[in-house]
Amino acid sequence: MALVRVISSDGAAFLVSQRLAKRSGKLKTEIETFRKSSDNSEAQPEIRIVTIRAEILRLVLQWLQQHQNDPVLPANQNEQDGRGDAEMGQSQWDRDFLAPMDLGIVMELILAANHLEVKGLLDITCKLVESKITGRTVDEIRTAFKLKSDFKGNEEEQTRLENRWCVEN
Amino acid sequence: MPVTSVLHYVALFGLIALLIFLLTFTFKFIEWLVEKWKRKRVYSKVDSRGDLEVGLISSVICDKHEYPSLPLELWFEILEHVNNPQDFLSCINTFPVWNRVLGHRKTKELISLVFPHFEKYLDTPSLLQCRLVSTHWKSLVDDTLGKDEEIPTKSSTYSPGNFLGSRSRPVGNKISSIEQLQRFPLEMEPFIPSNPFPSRNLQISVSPLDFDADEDLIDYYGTLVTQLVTTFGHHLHKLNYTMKVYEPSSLFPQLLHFLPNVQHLTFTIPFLCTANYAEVVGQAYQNRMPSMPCLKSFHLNTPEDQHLAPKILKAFLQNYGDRLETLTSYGGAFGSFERDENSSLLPTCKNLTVGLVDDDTCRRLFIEPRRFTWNLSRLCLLFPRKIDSNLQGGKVKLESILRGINPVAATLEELQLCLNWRLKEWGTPLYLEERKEEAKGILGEMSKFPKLKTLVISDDFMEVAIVQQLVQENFVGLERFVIDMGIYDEYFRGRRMYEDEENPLWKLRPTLKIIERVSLTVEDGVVEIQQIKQCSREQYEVRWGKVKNGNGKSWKSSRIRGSHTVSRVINMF
Repeated sequence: MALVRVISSDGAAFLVSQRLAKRSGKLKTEIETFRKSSDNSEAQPEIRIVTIRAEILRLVLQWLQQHQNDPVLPANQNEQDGRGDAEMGQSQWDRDFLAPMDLGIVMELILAANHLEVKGLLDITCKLVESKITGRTVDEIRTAFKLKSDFKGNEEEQTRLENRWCVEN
Repeated sequence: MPVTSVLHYVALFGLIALLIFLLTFTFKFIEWLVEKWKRKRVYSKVDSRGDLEVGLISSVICDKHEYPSLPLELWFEILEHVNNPQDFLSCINTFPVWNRVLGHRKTKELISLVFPHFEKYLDTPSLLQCRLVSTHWKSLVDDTLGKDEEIPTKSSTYSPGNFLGSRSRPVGNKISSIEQLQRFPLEMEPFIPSNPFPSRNLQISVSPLDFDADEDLIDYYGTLVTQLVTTFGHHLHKLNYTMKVYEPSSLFPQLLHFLPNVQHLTFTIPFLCTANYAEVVGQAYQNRMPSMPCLKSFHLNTPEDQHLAPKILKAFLQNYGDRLETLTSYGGAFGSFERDENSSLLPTCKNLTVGLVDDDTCRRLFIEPRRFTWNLSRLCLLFPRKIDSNLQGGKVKLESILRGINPVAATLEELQLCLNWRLKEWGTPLYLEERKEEAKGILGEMSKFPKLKTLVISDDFMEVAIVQQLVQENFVGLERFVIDMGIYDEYFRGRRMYEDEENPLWKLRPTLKIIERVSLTVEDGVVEIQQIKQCSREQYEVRWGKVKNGNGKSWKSSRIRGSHTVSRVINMF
């Protein structure tokens, strides 16, 4: 089996089958670039991902492994609004996969999925963050994202008024 | 001293040395084990899972990372000052210790990097709700809203190009009644000088359009709109202004004086006016418009008018034509220009959309001004869906279209040749007069389009054979081919070009990456979001090309052909 060595920013190396790695647009490009530049066709590519740490890279590879037989979503899937069809790709496994995660880890996963060009994972993680906002009160959103209001004076009242004008069409 | 004593001492010394060596070795070994355990512990969360299966084979530690030797509390102190989101991300990715130290701040600091990805999933109320979370979130949302294109999700007419990667979220301020025109400045006055428009986008479209020709009411409207614009106009980057019936001719030029930062201007003339009024307005616009250094795009919407639009377009192009990058207008509005006049008016225009194009427009814009060199990267020509046989001027010849696009061949990156789907005109498809045999002359004279990547074409716009010849001979770098199906989701010509195993486009143009079909849905008389179906070269090859039988033919396609033909016949009818 052809393998590729993927190394995280903090130095953990993952040996992954090239078939699996190529489900990431970024890794696919890197492997193909390596193949073109390498004289030895048997040589094992080594790819350093300097923006993703081991824990997150592991999660991405786990997700890819689980979805290795899914059809690959085109990069410009549903460009009407710039988002993919998250519902289509979300399974019980995905829900169980994301359920125990802290919101900070989910945000790191979004950045990793975007960097590695893993459209399906990007969709479900974005959808998860969206679910922490849609239908929630402002205080609930602040609690979910561990934030405090830093509006001064009547800034919050002004913002509410501006919002009202925006929807009053 | 007896020799035996000396030997005893030597043996004792040797024994002690051996013990010391063993102790040192044991100590070093234990130290190495502890070090290894410590390093292993860092990755314990990563490595403890025993669920590795096919694909993900193993993970090992390959680099030795020494932790910076500072007490943890000092790292807390130091890293507290890391506030830039990109620096923050770099820190948490560098050392697991730093990741743990910064863990509690991730949701706060990473939001700037993550927000652009998930904001697409939020509906308008949720997005606006985010503005209330914190000042940082407010600025993120406002930046997003400010960048949004002014493309409506619903419209009574179909505008090609909506589906080509552009996003639509109609968030913006809209003033649509006299009451709102009075109330907005009153409510926002206490917050001056802050910006009251989150998207920096304002639409002024006060109804009713016609105040029953009440001159007092029209004057009152003029006073109110002037008050609004003089107070808040400098915050605006986008303005969508709908003219009122017989409003004072100098009103809009006066308003422009208070809109110095407007970059995108949409001007709608929703009524028919007399030639005299058009003349007066034309003069006022020509002479009284201020300098607008930021103006980059101008859209002129004139669903009904024929007199006023040419005057207004001429005034805008003469005042701002030298800086416009985007222009949208209907073809007839270019009628007031003299030969070669517009050649000096649009030197920076990259994006041109012309509606209701006929032979005359093609000739006037592209063919006649021979000294003129267009520098367009995107050209969208919209043709009337239905040609009135009584109107001689309404005809479009394929020759005119091809001669029209030929002068922009060198720079064009996106070309749209579409039939405009106006609700009133549905039902009668336009077929151009020429067939391939008749068009051979002009096809032979066409230049190559080296930069053209995207072609959008209405399904029944021209013969498939002509499209194929253009793709093969002229559009040499084409990557994306979009077939606009209109309301006919399963119209057979598009189906044939899109997914037929015999479709030659894939072979004619090796650079082609994707073919898409776009169709419209209609609900309550309103054109809705288009449906998109895609076929990439990879999918095409997997489906039709890769699996060969012994004769070199695609056994898969030959097996499917029977049922596919049946489905096509069913879909045709």
